[in-house]
Amino acid sequence: MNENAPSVDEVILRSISAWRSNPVLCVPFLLNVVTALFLFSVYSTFVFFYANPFSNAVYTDYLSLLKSINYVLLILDLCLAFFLFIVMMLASSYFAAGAIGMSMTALKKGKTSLDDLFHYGNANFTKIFLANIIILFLAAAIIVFVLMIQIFLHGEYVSIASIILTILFAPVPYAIILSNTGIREGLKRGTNLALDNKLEALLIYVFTTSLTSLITFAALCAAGIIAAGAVALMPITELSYASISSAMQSNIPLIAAGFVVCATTYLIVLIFIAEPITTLCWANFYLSRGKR
Amino acid sequence: MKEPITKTIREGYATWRNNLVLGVPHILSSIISAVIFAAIIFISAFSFALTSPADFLEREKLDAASLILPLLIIFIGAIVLIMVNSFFSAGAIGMSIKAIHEGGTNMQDMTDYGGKYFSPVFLSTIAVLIISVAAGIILFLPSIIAFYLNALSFGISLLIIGTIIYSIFLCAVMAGYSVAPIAIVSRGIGATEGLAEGINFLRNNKLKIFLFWSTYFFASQAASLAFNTITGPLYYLQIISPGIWAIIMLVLFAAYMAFISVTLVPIAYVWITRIYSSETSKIKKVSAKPYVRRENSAQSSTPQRLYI
Repeated sequence: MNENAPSVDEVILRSISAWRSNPVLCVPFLLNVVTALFLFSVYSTFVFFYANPFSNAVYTDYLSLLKSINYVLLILDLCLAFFLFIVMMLASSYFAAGAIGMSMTALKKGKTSLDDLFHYGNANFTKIFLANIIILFLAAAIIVFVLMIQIFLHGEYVSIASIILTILFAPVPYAIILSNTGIREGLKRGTNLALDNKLEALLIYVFTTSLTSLITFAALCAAGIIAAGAVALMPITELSYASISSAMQSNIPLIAAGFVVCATTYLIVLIFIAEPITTLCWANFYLSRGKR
Repeated sequence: MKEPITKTIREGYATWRNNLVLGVPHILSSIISAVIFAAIIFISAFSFALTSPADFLEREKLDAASLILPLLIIFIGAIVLIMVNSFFSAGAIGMSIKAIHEGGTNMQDMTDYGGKYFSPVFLSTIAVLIISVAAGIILFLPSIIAFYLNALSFGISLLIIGTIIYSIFLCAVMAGYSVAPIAIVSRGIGATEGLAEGINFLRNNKLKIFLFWSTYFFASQAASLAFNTITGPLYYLQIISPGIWAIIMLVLFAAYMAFISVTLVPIAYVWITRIYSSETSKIKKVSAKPYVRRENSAQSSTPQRLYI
């Protein structure tokens, strides 16, 4: 263990100051969400209007329903969904690689720009994508195994295993990009970093998850205040279920608008605060303690 | 020199490991609180039964006079409960200070510090309680007025807003109050200075307090996950005989609470005391310990590591 490495407090403080002086760091996360939403809306529009396997569905009983489904279109849609999943993973790998590269530049030089996003994204996204797939399969295998134990013994094995796996594999993409190594070496270095600095890695994990939940709490409070404003506009005449439900039914657009506003607030806060700080913290942690 | 949080956690754990007696005030406090709580319920129910007529359920209006004595007993009991907790909390903080600065502590320190600083800690707790209750009344009064005026939509709306602001306020009060007893005991100051110092400390050390609370919550979450995992196989017992399962779970849960109050709670006290000591003028005392001095010299002799 490196005694002279900066402590977790310094890592966090430096990450926060780097985030403050580089607001551009939120761009990869924003692009990621926008891409995912765009791809998903294109897919759902296509499936709903042009390849809907349930377009001729008539529901009289289950048998007729099953007969009326267009199975060719259903299989086509499922293939498209799998394809969409792969494309989304590729996009998120690209933007994650860019974000990690941008974080590294921001931490080393103090300033970063969008050029770093495309430079590191182009250079590393295949590696990150393959590493993500490997981690996904590994984690899925372990979780399935642990789930078997949980079904027999009724404990909290899955939650414990998922926390441990998250901490163990979190530094892997950082190791691949920041040390500029291959996937195998990156897996080795990333997991070794978490294993050699267990308390530090745990603290970074605890800090980032607490920050995210604090932000979720703040977004929920904002949502609650918006909801309270919406309630004030509703004509509730008496404290009864009928009165309240009729008031809500007559104001469905208001409620829908409230939900959209809340979800947008939450996403914006998550994209602009939580995710850049999380990435910066892990990048700074790897830079200060990882093997290079 | 500010101490890194990982060092605080490691050294705090080591301090607790060398002084297992640190858990005693917490376990004593929980046992005595449970006894007092049971006594309050018993005595207030008894006095209610004595003062009210036997057929009080059948009467349309309950006699207000018969409620005065039980409410008075509950009020006095709550005050006694806070007093006991203040005594043991002051004692526990004193023991943590001794253990951190001198390496060892004993039960004598608990009674010394508990007796000496019991009144300021008690007064600060009461002040915080009064502030919380007053804030609650101020925040919920508009919605009550709106309900009274039959403006129901506004009433519900104000109720929701009041609840949200009140929960945020309570979180802030909890964070601000977390350091006040430690400031009182380690500096020997009064209740109001202690509260001001606690708020001041929170303002200057947001990250430290945030890290402390998130670590504490994570540790208690982990403890409850471990408890659920260990008691998981007992699920089969529940199918066989629910009665025995309930009794065993009750015993195990009591054991779990006792375990938490001798492990996690004293460690958390040591952590927050250590954070306070290292961040304020008490540092010199902390630096008197050999391990901190070594760390200091290492920090000053080696330059800051650069990222290349």
